Amino acid sequence: MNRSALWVSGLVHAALLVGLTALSGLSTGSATLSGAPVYEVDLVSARVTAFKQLPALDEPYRIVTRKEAAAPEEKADMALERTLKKVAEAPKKGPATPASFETAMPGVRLDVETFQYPYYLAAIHRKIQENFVIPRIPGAGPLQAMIYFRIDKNGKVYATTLTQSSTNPVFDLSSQRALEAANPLPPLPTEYDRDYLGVHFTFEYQP
Amino acid sequence: MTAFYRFPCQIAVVAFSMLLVSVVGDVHAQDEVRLTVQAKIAPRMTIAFQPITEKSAGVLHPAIRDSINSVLAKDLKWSSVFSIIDLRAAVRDSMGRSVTVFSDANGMPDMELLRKLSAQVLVSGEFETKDRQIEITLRLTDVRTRRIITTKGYAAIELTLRRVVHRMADDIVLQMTGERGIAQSRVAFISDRTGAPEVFMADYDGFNVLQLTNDGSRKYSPNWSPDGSKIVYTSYRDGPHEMYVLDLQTGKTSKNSFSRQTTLSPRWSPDGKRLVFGLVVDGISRLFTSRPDGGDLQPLVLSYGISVEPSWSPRCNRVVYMSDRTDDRHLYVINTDGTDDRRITFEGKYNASPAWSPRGDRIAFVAGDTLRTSRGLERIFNIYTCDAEGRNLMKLTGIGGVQGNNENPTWSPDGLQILFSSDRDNNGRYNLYIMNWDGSEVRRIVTQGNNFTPVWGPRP
Repeated sequence: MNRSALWVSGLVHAALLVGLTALSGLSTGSATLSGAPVYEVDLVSARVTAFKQLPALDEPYRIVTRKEAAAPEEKADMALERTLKKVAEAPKKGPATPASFETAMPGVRLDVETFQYPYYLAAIHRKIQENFVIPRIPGAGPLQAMIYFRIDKNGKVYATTLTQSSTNPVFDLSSQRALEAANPLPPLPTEYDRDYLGVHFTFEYQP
Repeated sequence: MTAFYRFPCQIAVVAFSMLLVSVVGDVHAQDEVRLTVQAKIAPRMTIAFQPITEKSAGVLHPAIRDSINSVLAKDLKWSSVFSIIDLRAAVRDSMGRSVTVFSDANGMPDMELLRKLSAQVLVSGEFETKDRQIEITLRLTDVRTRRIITTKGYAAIELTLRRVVHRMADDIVLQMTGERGIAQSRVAFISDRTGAPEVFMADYDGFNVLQLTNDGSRKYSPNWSPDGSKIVYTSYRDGPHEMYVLDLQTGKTSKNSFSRQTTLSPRWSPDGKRLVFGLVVDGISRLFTSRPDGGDLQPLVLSYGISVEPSWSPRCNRVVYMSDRTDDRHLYVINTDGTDDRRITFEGKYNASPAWSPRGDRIAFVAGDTLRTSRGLERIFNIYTCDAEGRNLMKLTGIGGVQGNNENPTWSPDGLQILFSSDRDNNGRYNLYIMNWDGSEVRRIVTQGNNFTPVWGPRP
């Protein structure tokens, strides 16, 4: 009795989920596929694709097609299982934030243990600071956001991730803007032998 | 991400409004006020400059060495990015001997002292001459860890030495800031040193003055194309005052004629696609735009009163210009699609020659200050800047006493310096000067004859 009730309930749920997934896939089309939500910000009328999102999966979520949904139950079940499994695994599969090492420059940490060019940290600090517009946040206490990014040989910033949110979206956004406005940063020292430098950069707000 | 880059102006506007820099105008004159502006420019980076030495066992070339060092030291100083610790600095000891401060007797820099003075980078290098070729090696070293940052080789002959050293300076600025310096840029201006006003060109430091036109007709308002390959100017060559485009690569001049109507102050858009200029219609100058070859003439400002001296915003979506439609001369801003035409200056009675900064945040212009002098009331022209909305006025010249007339401001390609003409040094005669964006460090670059309407060209 219990076993069959469980079986029926499982089937109904599965069918519902499959239906919903298929529907959402149909109705929103490519907009959903492209993934990133879009924030409208009135402040400077710039549209910034949000960077605060789930770590990217190796493969995109699989949308169950209508054909599959109409297929025998077993097949649909397997498709659903696959999708659910991927969702469950998603956070674990995200790129691990590299370990970071303290530098003499406050607010700047690196993911390499020894970096022999303190001038470079002063230079990027100077340029990001020049472009950092601290917003007016009424009533906010001290805030701190940390952004991880990589700098290539030519000084181009890429792989930007918000590793620690300040919990204030306005402040997070202005931190990210500072980084984008400072791009390109000074080129890496020619004698530095690696292809990129990973930096953990802390933005602070003192009310 | 991409959307962000379409809005550099707004970003820069706010970025420039943080750190307090107060500029106090003289209060001895009626029209002057105390001015305060909020601006944020990153502090200068301290670098140590060890003079380039000659690597040779045989004949030495002190003249070449000195010219490399003097040009490089000046370029670094005038980059507006660095403050320099010059290792040539020396004092006299008790015996009257000259002792260098920052290096030992062998010329080796005292890295510990430099580090304490918070110098980040040491610039050094050597050169050698092979036949007529001069080979220079430039080295940047991190002062704290004494690690070499980069080593770069340059080759020059004596004729190209200045340009090569300018390139070295620009490379150093690039290595430190991610943005190329302006030492290789050139300026164009009008000079009457040979008789009629003709178009001239010079390096940004005033060297290598080159005459570009020579037909004896009066010429005005030169302006560079954004790629630096052409100069547009106005001239009375064929009778009426019309617009000419000089191709610097071929040396050919072409004319953009609009029914032989008087054409004034053409300005090339930063994207290179359009020209904006004043065109006299029914006796009144109005603003029009056209393609650089003179085709596709479109009206921009047709309103009452004259409209002249346009200047593009860096994104090419707005134009600032001067109009006398209220009887007084004031600055107005209009969108290039013809909408949102509005006045931005409200102080004084004479505001003219606006120039929009390539950073987009400030507009430099000339204002007539009425001064009470021994000869009665006198109008003196000074350079001011304001933000793109006309607010946060900042007076750059004429602070702490009269310094003659200061006119025709034009921005350096990095938006950190302003080139202008002034008669401050010799009565009634105009020379060219450069100052920093905040009015500091004024230096004279071009003297001979009357020199006016300068315009700073793009980076090469």
